[in-house]
Amino acid sequence: MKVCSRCLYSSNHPFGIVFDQEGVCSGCRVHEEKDNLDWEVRRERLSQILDGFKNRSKTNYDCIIPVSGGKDSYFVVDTVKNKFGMNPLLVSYNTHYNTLIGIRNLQNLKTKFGCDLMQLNINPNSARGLAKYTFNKFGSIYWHNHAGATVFPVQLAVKLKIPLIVWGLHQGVDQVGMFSHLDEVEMTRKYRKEHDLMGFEPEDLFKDSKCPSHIKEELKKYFYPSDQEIVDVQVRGIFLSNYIRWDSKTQHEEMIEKYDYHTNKQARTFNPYEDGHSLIYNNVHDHIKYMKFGYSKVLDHAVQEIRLRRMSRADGVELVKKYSNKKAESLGLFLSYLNISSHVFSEILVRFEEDRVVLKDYEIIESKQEKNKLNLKKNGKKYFLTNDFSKYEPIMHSYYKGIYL
Amino acid sequence: MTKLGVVNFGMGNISSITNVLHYYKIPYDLINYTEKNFDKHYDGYILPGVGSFKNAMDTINSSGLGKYIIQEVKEKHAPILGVCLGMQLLFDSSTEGGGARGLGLIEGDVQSFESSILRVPHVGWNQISILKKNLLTDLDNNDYYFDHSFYVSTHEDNIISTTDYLHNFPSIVNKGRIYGVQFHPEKSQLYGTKIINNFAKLCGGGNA
Amino acid sequence: MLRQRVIALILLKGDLVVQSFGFNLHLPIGKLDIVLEYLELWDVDEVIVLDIDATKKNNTVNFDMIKAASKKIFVPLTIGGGISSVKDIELALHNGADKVAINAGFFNNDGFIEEAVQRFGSQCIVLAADVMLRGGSYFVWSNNHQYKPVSVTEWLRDAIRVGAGEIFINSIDNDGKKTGFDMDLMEIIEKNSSVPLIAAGGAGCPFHIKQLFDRIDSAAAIGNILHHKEHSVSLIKGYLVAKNKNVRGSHFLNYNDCIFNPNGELSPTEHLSIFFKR
Repeated sequence: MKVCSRCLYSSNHPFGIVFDQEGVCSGCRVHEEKDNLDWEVRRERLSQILDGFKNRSKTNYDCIIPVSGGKDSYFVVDTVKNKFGMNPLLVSYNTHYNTLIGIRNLQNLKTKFGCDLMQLNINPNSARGLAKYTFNKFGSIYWHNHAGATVFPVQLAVKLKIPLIVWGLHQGVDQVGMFSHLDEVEMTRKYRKEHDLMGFEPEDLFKDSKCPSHIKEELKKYFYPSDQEIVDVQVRGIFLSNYIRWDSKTQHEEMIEKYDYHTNKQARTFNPYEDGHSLIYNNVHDHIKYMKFGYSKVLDHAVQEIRLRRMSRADGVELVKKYSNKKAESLGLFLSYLNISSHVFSEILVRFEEDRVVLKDYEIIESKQEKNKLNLKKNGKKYFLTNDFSKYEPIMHSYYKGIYL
Repeated sequence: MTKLGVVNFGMGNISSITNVLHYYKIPYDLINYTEKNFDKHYDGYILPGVGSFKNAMDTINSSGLGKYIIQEVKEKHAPILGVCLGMQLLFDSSTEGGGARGLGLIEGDVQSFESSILRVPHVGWNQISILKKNLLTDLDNNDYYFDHSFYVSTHEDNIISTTDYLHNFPSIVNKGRIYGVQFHPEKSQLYGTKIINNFAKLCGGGNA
Repeated sequence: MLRQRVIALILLKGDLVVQSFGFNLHLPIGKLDIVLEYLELWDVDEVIVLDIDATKKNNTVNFDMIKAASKKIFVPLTIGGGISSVKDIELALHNGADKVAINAGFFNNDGFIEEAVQRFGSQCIVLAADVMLRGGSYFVWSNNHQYKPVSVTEWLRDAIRVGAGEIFINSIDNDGKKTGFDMDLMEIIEKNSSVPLIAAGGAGCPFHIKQLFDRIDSAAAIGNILHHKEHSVSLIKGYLVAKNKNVRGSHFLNYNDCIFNPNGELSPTEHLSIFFKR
């Protein structure tokens, strides 16, 4: 098992990862482009691409932006609408298990930016059935959310004849350097199948003779549009992170300041910005990932900060060690919601345990040069900003409360 | 239940053919040249192959496969589909390697492309020109994948389609229930794999 | 008429599909079987899979993985990576390969190639070379770095002598640069070879393939850019058909009537006119 000599990723990363002769991983090598490329030129390129799509679709929307109550949504909408003058249609797939902060953030998003929003709400019982089925089949409770969030924008693009979909961060590029920024990789059904859906498209599960018929009915809702429909509309999905020097933390802080984005302190990571909209993403789902692969989202967050030289590798290791073992608070509630006993839960998880690497195996080689390049915030200011919304208690919601509409 | 026999004389990628049969859910058995005797009768035979005519015929004759195939086709009138080298083996002879005799099921012989004029082997996608209606390909003049250095000469009565590589040569042949395709239907995507299914249909099986 | 082929070049580091930049930087893509599944849907003409680590590690490409992945495609599959004996070739052909590509194995012992041609036919044998321009001349460089570089014309003569069915030439200098194929190199090969030719190294956009097809009688092998866009191969074919090149069009993913920019990429600026046509 190899570990990158710069960041903390190891050779068992599920996307696949390459280490060069110096032991540096492909993710870190591509990350070097953030300091080597001329980002003005990249921005100009984005401007040219977006210009080409202005006032071109059949409706008066120039593009579709997939949003949620968290992650990069605010930044992408701000960039596309305010900085580049496009008229976007916001598209959201309700991933259920929403926190009140998440519901509020999404409502605030469409209000502050003045955008139209179309949302798909699969009924909660269907979601529950699918979560249980996929957990049994390949150990994932979140699969249907990935499936929905990645297909709904494409279904709408085809139906409404809006060719351009603008995504934020390309995870493969960001984590393991799957592509160079200069490759300008676009959305593909192939990437979705392999890396978002763990190798199982809804169409594949549908063909399984052992799949119960009520699940088959649900799966149909997640089917990708036909190739002919994609060709007819010439649907394309671009990623802003190929054209803008991505720095998630700084971008979020800008959104907090300008547009009152609310953060949500997490139990299993030090980063309260990204997944505050979901009750279970950094929680139960992350805990399951940790049991299967031996690493969790906090590792991804630490790697981002290490690569941007705001955190030392040693500090990163400490944080990962600290948070990886934190209890998934909603686990009990979630298991009762799915009607699975904790005994059965553990049994199922054991089946999917992959090549686990736990942090104590890491060798920490801290070089003085690396330490000097650090840019840690001083003056006692908190490293990550958090709101104090203790009155927000996470409860299992899958519908909007009247007050937010 | 219709079952096909896929003849394996140890030359070529048999699994490509069997992949297609799996895909269309067509039952088959492999008839290996290493077996002691050949006494089972199948509803139809596929004879695939890549490589040297002479080597193939040596194996086919010495193993007893040759006698078996000729008997099945001539006496029991079983349909047979020869693919690439398999198609060439159906004929009388080839000039390859100093000359060798084939199965002689269709009259005609095999000679090599002129390598001083053309790039040899003839490899890649090329079109067929269908000369007469037939059960194998009910489709238009589509592209199929070829990879061969020798081609067949035979009477025009036996020719279903020709393909152009400097001159026209037979790409699909047929006499009675004997069929041959010079290209690789198992490697020609939809239109190619359909030919294998159509052959299975005329043997009494196949899938809609 | 025989078409000019658009061939997918898939590079493996062990079991991982990778992109290659200058034979130096490799970026991970994912699993082989999913790559092949989608290449089949995008109507690729042929696939070449090469394990670039095999020779270094004294291994051959993973035949079990090849066998499983080969079930996903119905176009010819060429496999390479550490193949250095007749036994290796036999194993490859029994595990899903239609042809084998031999690079370092040819340097080391060209006698086994002649035996293989006798046994399996030249149709199965693709001889491959990685070529660099040094001091104004082209040299074949063995991946293994154990062997002295050889002039490309000398290599070609030997390759044809031993009975290669096809010649695969990869430009090390252009690898991953996206500036187009090395035309001068391919012209030399074309003039000195009577055997079908496959050109690789440097394709960055559909226009580069048109450039190659306009000038050289060869197939085009494309690597990195296969993985960058939805329907990548079909887009390339749509452009080439629109420019009247002799290629097998993509049947179900027909981009033939689209508007392309000078690079051969989809041009969104003409979108509105397309909708008015309907």
